[in-house]
Amino acid sequence: MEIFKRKKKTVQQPKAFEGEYVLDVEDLKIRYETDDAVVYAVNGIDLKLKRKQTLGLVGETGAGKTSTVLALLKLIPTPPGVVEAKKILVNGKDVMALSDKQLQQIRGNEIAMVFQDPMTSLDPVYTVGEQIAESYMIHDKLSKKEALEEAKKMLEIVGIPAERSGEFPYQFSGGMKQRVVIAIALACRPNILIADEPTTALDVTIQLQVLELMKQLNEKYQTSTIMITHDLGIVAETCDEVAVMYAGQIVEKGTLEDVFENTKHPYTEGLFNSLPNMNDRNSKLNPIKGLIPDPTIVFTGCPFAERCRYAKEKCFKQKPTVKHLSESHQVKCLRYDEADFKIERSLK
Amino acid sequence: MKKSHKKTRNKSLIWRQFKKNKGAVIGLVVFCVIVVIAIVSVIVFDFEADITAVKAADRLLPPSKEHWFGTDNLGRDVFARVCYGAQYSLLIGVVSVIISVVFGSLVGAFAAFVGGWIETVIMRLIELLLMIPGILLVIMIVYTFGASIPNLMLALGLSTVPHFARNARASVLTVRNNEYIEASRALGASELRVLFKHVLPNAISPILVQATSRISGCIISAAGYSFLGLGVPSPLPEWGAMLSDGRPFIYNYPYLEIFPGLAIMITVLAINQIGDGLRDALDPKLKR
Amino acid sequence: MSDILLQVIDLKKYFKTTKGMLHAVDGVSFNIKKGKTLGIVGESGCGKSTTGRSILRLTEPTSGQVIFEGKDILKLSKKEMVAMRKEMQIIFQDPFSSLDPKMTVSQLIKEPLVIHKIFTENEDIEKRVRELMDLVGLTPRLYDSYPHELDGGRRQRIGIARALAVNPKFIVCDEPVSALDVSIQAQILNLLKELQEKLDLTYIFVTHDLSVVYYFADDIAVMYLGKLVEKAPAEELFANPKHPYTQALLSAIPSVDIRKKKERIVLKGEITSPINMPNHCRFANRCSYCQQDCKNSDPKLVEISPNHFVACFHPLGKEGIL
Repeated sequence: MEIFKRKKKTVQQPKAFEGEYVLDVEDLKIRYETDDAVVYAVNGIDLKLKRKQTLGLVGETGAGKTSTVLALLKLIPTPPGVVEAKKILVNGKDVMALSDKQLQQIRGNEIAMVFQDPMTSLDPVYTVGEQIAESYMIHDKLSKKEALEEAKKMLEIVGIPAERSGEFPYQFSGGMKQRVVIAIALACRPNILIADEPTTALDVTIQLQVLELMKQLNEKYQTSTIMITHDLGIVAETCDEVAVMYAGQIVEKGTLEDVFENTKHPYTEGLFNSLPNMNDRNSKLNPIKGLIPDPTIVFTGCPFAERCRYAKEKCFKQKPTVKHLSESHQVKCLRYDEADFKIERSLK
Repeated sequence: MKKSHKKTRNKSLIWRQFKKNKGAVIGLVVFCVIVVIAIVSVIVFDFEADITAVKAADRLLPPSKEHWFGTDNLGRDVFARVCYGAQYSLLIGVVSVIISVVFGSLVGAFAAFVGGWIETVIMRLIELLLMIPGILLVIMIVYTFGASIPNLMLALGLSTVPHFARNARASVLTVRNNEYIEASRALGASELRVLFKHVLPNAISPILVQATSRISGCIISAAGYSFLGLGVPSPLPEWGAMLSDGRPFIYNYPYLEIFPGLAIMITVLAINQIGDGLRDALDPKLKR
Repeated sequence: MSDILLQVIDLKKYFKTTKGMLHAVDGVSFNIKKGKTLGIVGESGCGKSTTGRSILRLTEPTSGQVIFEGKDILKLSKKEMVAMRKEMQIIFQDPFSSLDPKMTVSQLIKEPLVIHKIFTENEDIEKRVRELMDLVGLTPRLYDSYPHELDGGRRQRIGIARALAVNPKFIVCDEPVSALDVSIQAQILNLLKELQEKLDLTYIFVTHDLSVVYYFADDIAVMYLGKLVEKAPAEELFANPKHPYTQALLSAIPSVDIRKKKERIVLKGEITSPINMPNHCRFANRCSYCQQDCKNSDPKLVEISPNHFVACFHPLGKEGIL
């Protein structure tokens, strides 16, 4: 009952959102129930995104990064998905309480997404101009002609000559396609942009171009961004804040400096130590032992314990809770403040 | 059916998927019952005495305790004939599909695997065969060699060879592009080894699914041709032939048509259900 | 010079397309010493994978020579080539598509042993399979598992075991870790390095990941549109890149060092199509140092300092990026 009341209030909030956090997620849990097993994708995470900030969501396959952001748009297919949360506020609106129609308004208009694979996220039968124009037609209710004009402007902004708006996706290279995808996402000037591994499918030199472009556009439109990636280098390049995910939990979160300079979680340490050391070619890689855990397991202790080189008996028995090191920096580890616990980073 | 399951090695997974489809499981059970009936009736009934012997006294009796499905115009027990007829339908369905699978798949797989002008020639020849309507082919074969069960099987088998050849070619082409084929070549495997150890086992799934649904198609066709007098000759109690025999009496003695008709329908339905279940279970995209 | 295991001379591979000849590999030459690793880096479509595959004759090269232990393997008959495959192996990029889904782990590892009839007794084969599984770090429990039941790292270990089964001297690693997660990637790289030391292997390591190649390779060759533009020992190349493309490539690596902001060179445009290539420098249209002579003729790969080769009319003089 109580939740119901609160939902009603938030929905009635004005559209132009002025709060401090454009995104406010508390205790988000996502699981997928199939005939064979229950997959626990996200196990209770809190996430806040300030205006104009870029948050990096880092983690390996199956950490729950993509599920998390799909839940923000209420795009988790149910069934088999089950989403639970204390709250998911996007621009102050409770996503869980919105109707399908209200959701359509929000998607694209207030929160937009750039997917990993530019080859498959464009529709091959429409010209790129038409695809960008579509969001103007839906959200700004422009006529087709007006929308196509706007689309051309948008293409120029992402660095593609306007005269190519009549071409089809197959006539574009991978990097160009990803620019088009970004243009579509930004067409309605959303204040939140979610980028799911936007450069993974691209070459390094093209990756650099796309990342630079995203940075410029963020400045220009004052968008808040969630950048999902597995590449710590990209986080260092683009993000203000970092959340490290493992087995559906955020194990460490903080500003870029907090996490990169003052690493506190053994998993974050392991990620850094798995990277080749660019200053010393002969130093050996120091990977995390073992494998990513089976997401159908419900852990009684710390999910990272079995791979952690600092794990003590209690780590297997007791669930770690969120510990605040500073206002910005938090870690989910039972041993972080013990005397004999010291993170070793081979790479600086 | 059972046998083909065993060939694909991750059979436990396939079986698990298959079991999820209720219709397919019911289809499989019904199909097994029909097979049992076919086998049992061969043992229980005497072909001369129970199936073909004319008993003038028992003509056209309605269904009763003694004759569950009644008797036909020659006084033969319809129940016995329907049960006994199961073997023909099953046999024709299975054997003609085996003929087309073996010929079609081998030719198609070979063409795809060899490639080049050989492939072009083979596939054009196959398409030539495709241009002849099935019924013409059957008429041609039956008129040349006479109406008999083996000839009908041959005719039905041949008429579906092109479909299997094309399907086999398509699935071999997809499999051939997989990296594990190249991986195997890199190890020094011969072309024959690659074809038989890697390409065929992986290309077999879609062929298997097509084969299953073709069985029901062949059963229907066989019944149809028999009805037209092109298939199984009287007095063999093939279901289509029984329909044909009972046709003059349809208004007064509809059970002569109903029971063989039901038999055809149930068998075909069961096999189609199995085919659907198998398709879902073997399709990697639907897994998990 | 007897310690050179493999010599590639003017290797070319053209593909016929509807639009014209695609010059995938266009005159590539290099040597690899025994027990060393040559890294080939470049972006998609530069011909690095095709080079690796042409050397093994998985795609037949158009022309050139590949001299392995003094024998030109491009002149070998089919039968001789099969025997040669015992010496030269490949590890594939995608551990999901490079293993036959219908075979178990043991059957997969067994396959090369059966093909080359290394053992006659079944017991010996089984013993060798278990030995190989141990060597690449696969627990014996997985003997009868299917690849789809395993994760990418373990699948890649199967691929490595298959390559090692016949005791090759030389292995082409075609992006062996790019499909894997960071922590697993490091495990596999370490394994490959250990195996190299233990078994005295020679590698060609094809990748687009510059930080991986820096860690892994002794020498690095940079490819652009089917040609080698620069080749040097790893440290030298990173410290002192001479080709503008190498420089741009190195500057584009995202660095985890948040204090030292490096200078970025954002290249204009993208790799042009390798069909109907110009007969001047292929990088000219994206190069910020491009001059008139770059558009007149194609620069040759020359040794500008010991072991440092570059194909550029105006090699960079100054220090590198790191």
